[in-house]
Amino acid sequence: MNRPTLDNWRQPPHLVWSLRHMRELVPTAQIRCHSSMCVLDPAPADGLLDLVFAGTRQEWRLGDYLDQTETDALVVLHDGRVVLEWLAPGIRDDEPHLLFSVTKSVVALLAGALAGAGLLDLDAPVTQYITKGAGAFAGASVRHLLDMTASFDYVEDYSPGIDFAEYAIANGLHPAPLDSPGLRGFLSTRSPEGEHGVVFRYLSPTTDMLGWVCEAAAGLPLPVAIAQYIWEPLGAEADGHITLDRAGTAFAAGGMSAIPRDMARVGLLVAERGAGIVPQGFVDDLIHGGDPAPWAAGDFADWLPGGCYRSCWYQPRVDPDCAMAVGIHGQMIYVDRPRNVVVAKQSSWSDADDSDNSTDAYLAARAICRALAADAPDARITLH
Amino acid sequence: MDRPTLDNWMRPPHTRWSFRHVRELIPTARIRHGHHPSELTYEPAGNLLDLHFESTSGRRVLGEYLATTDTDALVAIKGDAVALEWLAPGIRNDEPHLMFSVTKSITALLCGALVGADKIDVDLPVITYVPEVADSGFGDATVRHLLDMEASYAFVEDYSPGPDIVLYRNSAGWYPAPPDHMGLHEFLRTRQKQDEHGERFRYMSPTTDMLGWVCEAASGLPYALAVSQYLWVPMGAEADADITLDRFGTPRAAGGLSATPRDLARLGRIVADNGAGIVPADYIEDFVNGGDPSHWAIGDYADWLPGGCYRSCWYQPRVDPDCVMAVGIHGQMIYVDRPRGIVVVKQSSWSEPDNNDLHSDAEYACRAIARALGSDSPVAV
Repeated sequence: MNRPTLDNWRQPPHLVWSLRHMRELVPTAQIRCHSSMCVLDPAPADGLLDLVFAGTRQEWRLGDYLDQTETDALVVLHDGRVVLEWLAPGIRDDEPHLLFSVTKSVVALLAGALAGAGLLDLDAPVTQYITKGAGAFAGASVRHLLDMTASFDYVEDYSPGIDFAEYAIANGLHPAPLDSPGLRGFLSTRSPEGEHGVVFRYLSPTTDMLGWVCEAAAGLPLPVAIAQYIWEPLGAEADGHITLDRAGTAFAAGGMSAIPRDMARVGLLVAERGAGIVPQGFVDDLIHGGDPAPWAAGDFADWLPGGCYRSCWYQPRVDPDCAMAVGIHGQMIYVDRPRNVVVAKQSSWSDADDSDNSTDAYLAARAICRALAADAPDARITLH
Repeated sequence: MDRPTLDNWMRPPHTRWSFRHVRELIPTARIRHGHHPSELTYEPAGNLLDLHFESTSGRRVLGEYLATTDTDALVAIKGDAVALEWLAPGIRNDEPHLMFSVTKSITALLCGALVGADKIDVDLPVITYVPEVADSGFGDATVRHLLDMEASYAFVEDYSPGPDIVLYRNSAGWYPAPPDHMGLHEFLRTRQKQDEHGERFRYMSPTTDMLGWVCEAASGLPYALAVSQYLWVPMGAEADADITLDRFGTPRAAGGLSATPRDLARLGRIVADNGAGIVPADYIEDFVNGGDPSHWAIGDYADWLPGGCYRSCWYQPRVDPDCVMAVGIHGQMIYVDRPRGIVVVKQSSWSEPDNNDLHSDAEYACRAIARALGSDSPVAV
């Protein structure tokens, strides 16, 4: 039985197994669910898989798109009910799947909950919580971390480039020599570069810094804080987990795994304006707030023109009142608040971050929302 | 927050945290429970904590013993009823706790279930199932030798730790090792024969890792799936368990399983109930009657358990007929009193791995509980 190892888990053809078995590859901490889960009633929308949408390269039938583009699971909620739960052959609905950078969006919701509990001031400097080791983040505010506008010397190149390779060794997702500094050591030794708060720079370690701030503010290890402030109140139905480095530091920028329905429940929290778990103002702000200027000058402006990244959620801005969480290899939560639709997608794309693939996922989710709300003139199906 | 790391997790004062958080230190595979846990009622036996028993250092009171000897949890069941569930302050009953060598006894029950499914014949050579070890010290051993800890190869089980244990734990992922270190399979393949198999009890943990490999090969399933399918689901476990993996995904079938106390009580009930339809009855009955005490008498642990025996990874104290126990370092135990239908599970985080007196005290405490619960009268104090 030659299963993937830490050396090759993120290469095809291993991804489809690896992303649902992270705990077998690295140490993980449980993110405990509560015994009282939020029940999602089924209300199947017949014909949704026959929905046709225009992708970047071709027109797709949704069912074919899911079949042919390495999707593992797709859950669609409309008015809080499950209208579609699609699973690729061999995929179970109770296996936690790596969320990659959707983890960032969960950690940001935790930051919001901690702000609501009076434990975290989002406008405070990072050094108010991290008195030793903030390094290049010393002049940044918590808000800079949330909006990915902290600036330091780092290149996010998944191919992987030098920085990303060093980062993967530090966070434990790549085999590490015995003297590896770990995630905290990595964060503490970044060099300053440019000003904070000016440009959207998608640098994953920024969210690890946010995770560190949340731990310090909550006085709890990150997995316990996520469980207590998000996972339990959310009514998650299964334990999630998060990868740890050798010192036990959770990988806040990309290490969380959750089952598809629980991923959808995270979207529901946003659709329901915080659901009493995260302050309404914080959730409204992640959909409407933020400054488009740093985005326009930033790393992903070509991918999502006119968009914004606020509190670790993307605002497409083409559709007002919609927000999405995106992770490499095809992870996504799309929330359409006016139509009250949530789409959660888990995938094992061979490509980490092909922008056409990412756009197609977004276009598929958007088409689903419109079809369900029956306001899509181009929808070629009738939904009951 | 400086939590324990792989460098120090098995040393005091870290053991209490580490043994309930192994998955945070080492990769683990989930051992899934089913959708239908078997119900255990709660019928507390009045003053059981006031029970007196004779320890190696004189008469002790059970409650005081548990509170002062690094016990984390103790659960005693009689039939389907929990008679005692004791948890140390800060310990929850839903946290899987590392069971160390009690894992061996679970692996042996898996082997029994696979015998029942006609997938393993314990009298066949190991290489029938795992030809990869033909050139190793296991090349001419049988599955039965593995089950009874009578395989013989060069290895010294010294938890201080000695060099063999260090290499072994490096291979299993239990100690920090360079990223290109060999895994457990390579470790097993490179053991060298020493003396003859089947002549005396030699307690060498890798022997049971070899048994785990046999179970995986014979069942065609990874260990965690096999334990889930053949034991955890049928016995009605209420929680997931887990097993540590090396960097290639090889399970530490000799010591890496963590489980909740109640689920271990359910596991003990398989032994109390003659296999409970999950493991063949004759395989279980053989735990108490089978084995060759003469091999034990010249073996590694004869001083600790005189007149005893080790059969299919379960110890026979032979003091009370028909009682067997599973024992792990740092104070893990499942004690099964079959005639009285009683199972006692103990989880601990002893600072010392392997102190004979501590092991004996745990055995005496469990026996006293079983006898007290087994008497028709209320608990005799």
